[in-house]
Amino acid sequence: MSAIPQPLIELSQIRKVFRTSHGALTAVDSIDLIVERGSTIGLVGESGSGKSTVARMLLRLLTPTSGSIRILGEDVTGWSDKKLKPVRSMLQWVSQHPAAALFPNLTVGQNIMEPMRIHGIGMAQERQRKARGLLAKVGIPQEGFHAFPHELSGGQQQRVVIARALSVDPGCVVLDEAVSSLDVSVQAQILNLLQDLQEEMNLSYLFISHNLAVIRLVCDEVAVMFLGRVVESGKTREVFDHPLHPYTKKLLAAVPSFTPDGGVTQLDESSLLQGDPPSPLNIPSGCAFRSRCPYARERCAQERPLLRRVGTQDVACHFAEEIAAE
Amino acid sequence: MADLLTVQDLWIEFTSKRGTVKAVNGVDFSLRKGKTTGIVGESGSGKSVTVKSIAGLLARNAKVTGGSIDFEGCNLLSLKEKQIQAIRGNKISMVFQDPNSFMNPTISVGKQVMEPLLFHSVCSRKEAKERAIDMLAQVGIPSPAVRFNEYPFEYSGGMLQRALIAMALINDPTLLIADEPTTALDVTVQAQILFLLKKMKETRDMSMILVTHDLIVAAQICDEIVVMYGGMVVERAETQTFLKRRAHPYSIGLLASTPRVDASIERLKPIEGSPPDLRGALPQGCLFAPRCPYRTERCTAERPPLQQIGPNHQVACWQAESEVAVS
Repeated sequence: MSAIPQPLIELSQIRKVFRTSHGALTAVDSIDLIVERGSTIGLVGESGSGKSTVARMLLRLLTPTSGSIRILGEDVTGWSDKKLKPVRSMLQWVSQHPAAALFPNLTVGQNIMEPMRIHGIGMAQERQRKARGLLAKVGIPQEGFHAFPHELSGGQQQRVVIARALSVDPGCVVLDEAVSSLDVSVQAQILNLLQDLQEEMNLSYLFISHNLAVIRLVCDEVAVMFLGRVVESGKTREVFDHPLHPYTKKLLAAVPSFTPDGGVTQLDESSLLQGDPPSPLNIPSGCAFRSRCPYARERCAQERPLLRRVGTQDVACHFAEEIAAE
Repeated sequence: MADLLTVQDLWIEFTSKRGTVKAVNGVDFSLRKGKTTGIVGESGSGKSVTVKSIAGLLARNAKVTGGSIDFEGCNLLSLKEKQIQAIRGNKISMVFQDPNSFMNPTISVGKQVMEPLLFHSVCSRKEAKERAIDMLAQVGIPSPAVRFNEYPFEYSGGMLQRALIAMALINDPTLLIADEPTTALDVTVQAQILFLLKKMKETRDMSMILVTHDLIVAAQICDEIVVMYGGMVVERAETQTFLKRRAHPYSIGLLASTPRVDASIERLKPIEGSPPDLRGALPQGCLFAPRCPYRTERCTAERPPLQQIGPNHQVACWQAESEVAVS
């Protein structure tokens, strides 16, 4: 180990281009992302913005077209599946649909023990002891150990998926819309559970969600994505309270929320984003957001804004200072 | 103002291999002309089943075991299928959650939008096409004459939801039922669709029921909020009253469980436990009692009825005897 603590995961300038029947589709373009130990970084954006593609590259389920992925300082970008296996136990994944993520033919206990078996961790008895411990930790009674996934509710299934992810002592868990399919009251229980587990086990989370309120609650830092690029990133509170990119502003304005006097925000036609986002197959020149941006000028069509530091956050807009001064 | 729709003591059960499920258990609410009511609840609260029964769209294994639904002076539940068909897609129409599964992928969007006009023999095919194109324009679809001939897969999710709204509105319904119309959509598109629904309701002589799991969305566009839990209405109030003086522990818990975009909070206060199991006989007491922090002995022994606790404010809770501010 070197003297300077390495970030757990470091993605630099990663890019992913998919070949489709309609031509090349750049799903993710030149993204830098650092996941520190014990912290939560959020990725937020609309469908098709490339959030999940970033997560899949981080998990090395996809190989980036260019750029590098370092885990504890080691460049794992070109590693084979075989070489990656020991690294994989460090990175776990919880997805949106727990029912699809669990093996329906295995009991809850077997589901939780499966990753330990694959990674050759412990003897059968130890695995069982650990699985039972995890089950208790995620708040499922021990009778659940021998139940099958279909006998559980959606919230309980998601608890089992979380227990399974934790069975191999990961450093980082990717939570890809992990609470999106749950009802509000259950979602709150799972979010609290995730916060407790993070504190107890010093976990890092990469938290992907289209729900901005959930991102605000759980993330220390956030990156806002639009058509494969990060348009704004920084401390969650700064980005939410003082958004500097026009897209972030529009996104936040679209979320219904409370007002200080106990009412709710009104739907206001002027704050709505009009039309659909451009197709990722045909990204506009310059700034990809310019076709929907109220601040757009000639420069935006000619010159792509790069992510740069403005005040407390990084933002990719030529006119961020102007927006900051408003 | 007169009530357009009155649902009284509605009971619905489903029969399945695993027994009877009591999905709706004595629901009461009414909708005033020109107003929007939001029905809010979580999965299994009976909100969708309730509105489906209004449109006569219950599944075959569902049975209405009691109550009445009065719409413009007639009990919808006593009508024969033929009579319901004359109302559905005409005076009462619906918009659903997932436009992709509602539209037929093999028929052009325009043809589907004009279908209600032809089904109800409102006008000729030629006129129907003109009206469909006009309707597509009204819901904000650019170059409607071109997009009339396109198929659902050529539309984005938001555009398809607009087309679905056009289809629902083409016969000038007096009641539009929107069942989770924005749940499958991105937040910016959700805002566009909600705005469109609100505008359409205001510019036409129409009332609306919005079914949603999102209390804040309901508060944003509804005049009145009905909160359902375990197939029952637990609270009903005008939106402003609800926001300031919501009184049912479930309503209070639901808002405390909702993460907020406008404020930094450290931790949510979730409602402990899980929703009631509606299979078999219902418990005697309040269905929310097992999860309720304010529960007393009376709550588990006797079910609280929906009671008036203030002007236009009803709550089914023994503890909420008069309006108290929650904030």
